[in-house]
Amino acid sequence: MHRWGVRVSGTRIVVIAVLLGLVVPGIALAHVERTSYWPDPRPDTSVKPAAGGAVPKARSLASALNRKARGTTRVVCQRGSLSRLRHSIRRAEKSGFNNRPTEPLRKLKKKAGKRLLRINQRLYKRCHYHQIQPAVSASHNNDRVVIMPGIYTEPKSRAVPAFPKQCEQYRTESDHGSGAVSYAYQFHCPNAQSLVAVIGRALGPGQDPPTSPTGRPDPHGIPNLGRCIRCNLQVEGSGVDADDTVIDAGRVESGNGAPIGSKKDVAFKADRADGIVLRNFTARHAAEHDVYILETDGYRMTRMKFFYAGEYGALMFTSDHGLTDTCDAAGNGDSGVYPGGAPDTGTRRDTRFYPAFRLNQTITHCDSHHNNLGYSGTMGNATHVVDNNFYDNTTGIATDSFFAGGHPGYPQDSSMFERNRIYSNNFNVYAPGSDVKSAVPVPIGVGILIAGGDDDTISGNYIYDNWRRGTMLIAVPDAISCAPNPDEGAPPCTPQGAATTSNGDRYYDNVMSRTPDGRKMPNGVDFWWDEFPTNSGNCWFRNQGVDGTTASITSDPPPPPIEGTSVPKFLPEDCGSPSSVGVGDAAKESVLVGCVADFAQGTYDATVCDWFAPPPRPGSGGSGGGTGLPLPAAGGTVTLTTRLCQLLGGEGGTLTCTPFLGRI
Amino acid sequence: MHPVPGPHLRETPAVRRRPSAVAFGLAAACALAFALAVPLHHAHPAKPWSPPGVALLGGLPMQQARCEQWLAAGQGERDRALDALHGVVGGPTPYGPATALTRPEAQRLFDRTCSNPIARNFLLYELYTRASGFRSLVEPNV
Repeated sequence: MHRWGVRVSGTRIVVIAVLLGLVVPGIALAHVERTSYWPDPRPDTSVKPAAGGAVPKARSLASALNRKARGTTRVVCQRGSLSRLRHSIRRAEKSGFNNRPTEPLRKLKKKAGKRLLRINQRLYKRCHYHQIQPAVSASHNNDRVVIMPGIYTEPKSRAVPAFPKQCEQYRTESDHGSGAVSYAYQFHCPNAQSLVAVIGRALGPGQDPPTSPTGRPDPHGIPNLGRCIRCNLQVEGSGVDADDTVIDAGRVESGNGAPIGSKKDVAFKADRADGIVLRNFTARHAAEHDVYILETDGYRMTRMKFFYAGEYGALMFTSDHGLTDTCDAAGNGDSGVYPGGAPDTGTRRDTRFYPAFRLNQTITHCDSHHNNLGYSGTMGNATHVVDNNFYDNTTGIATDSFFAGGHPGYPQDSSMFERNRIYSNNFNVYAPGSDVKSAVPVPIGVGILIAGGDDDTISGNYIYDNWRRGTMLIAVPDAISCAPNPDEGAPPCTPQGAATTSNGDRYYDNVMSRTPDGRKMPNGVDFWWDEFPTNSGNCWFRNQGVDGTTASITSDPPPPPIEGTSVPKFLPEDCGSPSSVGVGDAAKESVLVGCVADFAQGTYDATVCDWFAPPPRPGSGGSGGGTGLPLPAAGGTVTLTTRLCQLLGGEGGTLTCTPFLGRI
Repeated sequence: MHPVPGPHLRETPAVRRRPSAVAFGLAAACALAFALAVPLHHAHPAKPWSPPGVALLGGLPMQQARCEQWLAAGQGERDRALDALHGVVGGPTPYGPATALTRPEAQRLFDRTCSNPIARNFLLYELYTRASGFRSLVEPNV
């Protein structure tokens, strides 16, 4: 073997590894300030009604006035709340309103407007708060916080420094190292990071188990969990729509746009707040996340808007039994919505903890647009993404298994993406003057990207007008997740297999390159698969192409010669066939190597790798989703030049696959 | 500091009585006296305290630090950031600790990548985790 050359199999690993380095969505590093766990999925019956175990039901706004109803209602208002509401009602009656851009405007009926005003007038008389956090802090289990129309900047929370000296004692060691902000930190100092924080549980009676960068407890179940103190809380705006009540963590003058001018890391945080309901308000301009739900069993977000956060519009991390229904997410530097580190309730579940297969979180009726990513899902296991619109993002959807510490649930698996419209994701977030600041590099012009996911379902979607590729499926070799650590004394790691990710993914009944009303709007390529060696069980069937037929599907590799079969070097259509196995494709790897080199060098030269330049509209004469680079040398090998090796290693070293020989 | 007040504590009601003219005058007088008493150099905000164990880059914690901050930072600040990233990214995996970069490797990674305008807003930790994913493919002694 030549010193600078490696066999294709080795090269492939390198390429895919680095490719992942380019395209995967946000790896949650510091937003997992502490070692995170999946909550016990069973309902907590110590409170009535039980908290968690299911998506909580929302209580009507009118019921907030019922003094006999369970829980106490605390009303937050501003001096101009009623006048703001009257204006909004007039607008909704005259011009109409909607909860998200793709929803048709509907006019508010006079009778409904009068009723809403009457409810708010009575709420106003009960208003005792003009900032939200004090009302939240005063709340108990089953209580409610109603926020009347207005823009809430929470001056008292803003005045809390990001690093209060008094809170340093609550920092701890976590799987991310020392200095992590513990739950006790959030309990005692809820506004150090967050503008509004719902701390759902008391501190546990014992000690948290030790955890460190060299080991962590099993993620199933939160250890040392305290009792419910704010479970089943409902927080809602009382206006016509989410625009009426705004929680702004940054620059108010920017409205729902940029610049964000963040003053706090998080606009609204719900921490171990089982059974929480958030409804009908906007959160915007957080340095990290507009809404952040953490270690929570049972949440519902309805009619919410998430605008211009530095990273995620809505981050739901290690949470279960969740529903995000009817939302609008735009302008976010990483992604619009992100159910990260989701419980492993899918095909790879521990049946002692999760006896039955279950999709643990649903995102539906949302418009996620003009973000870096519409959806991201590092270890977003068993999520249900249904009937949403992902458009005008740089990449529409990306879910992955690129592993970093702190994301339980490797590898990502069992998510279901169905009946979504994923289109026109060609937003050039890198353009000079872009109003969205890309926090992480992603390719322009991709509809849905799975980078290391198992048993995912992509079904019944309309995927069109994504100028590079409609869908992409890429493997993540296990070796990448346990690459040898450069530290002396670090315990060895051994991969479980060659490629345990990107197997068993199914794409069917999708309409490609065509709008719901039948117009032709082609993708660069409808389906793209890296054909990673040994990946198996992936299949694409019963999909329609640009003219409504299966035959008009464009794909790389191409569809099989005989419909319904799986043949090596063609796109598999028979899911159960033993021939549904990737055998590798050197040409693709050469492209990826080119992209890697481009990225690593920092030149972003579109002549080498065009991922960071807007792709040409399909049919306009550009390459679209084509491979674009010449094939490697004949003989089945790809030689890595010294320069490329240095670029790939990137640190002045030389690339080699030696560490993986005999392991892959 | 006890920022999670007991449920009985309430903020001042939003609907308040207007202050009397006397109260307003007293407040104004107090404000004037305070302004005169405060030394001139206090007119500038003090540098915010930062905890000794937390790495900041350009005043931002590592979860928010981007290329922009890297380019503007001094070497001492950069070194602390690199150490923090090493600790954070090298967390446990199902197989053992995740790979992290050495300080010189990470330094070169950020110097090179951040020099491109397109990367101005990339989060450093995102770049770091990507590079560390294939870190071990580099032969250290070559």
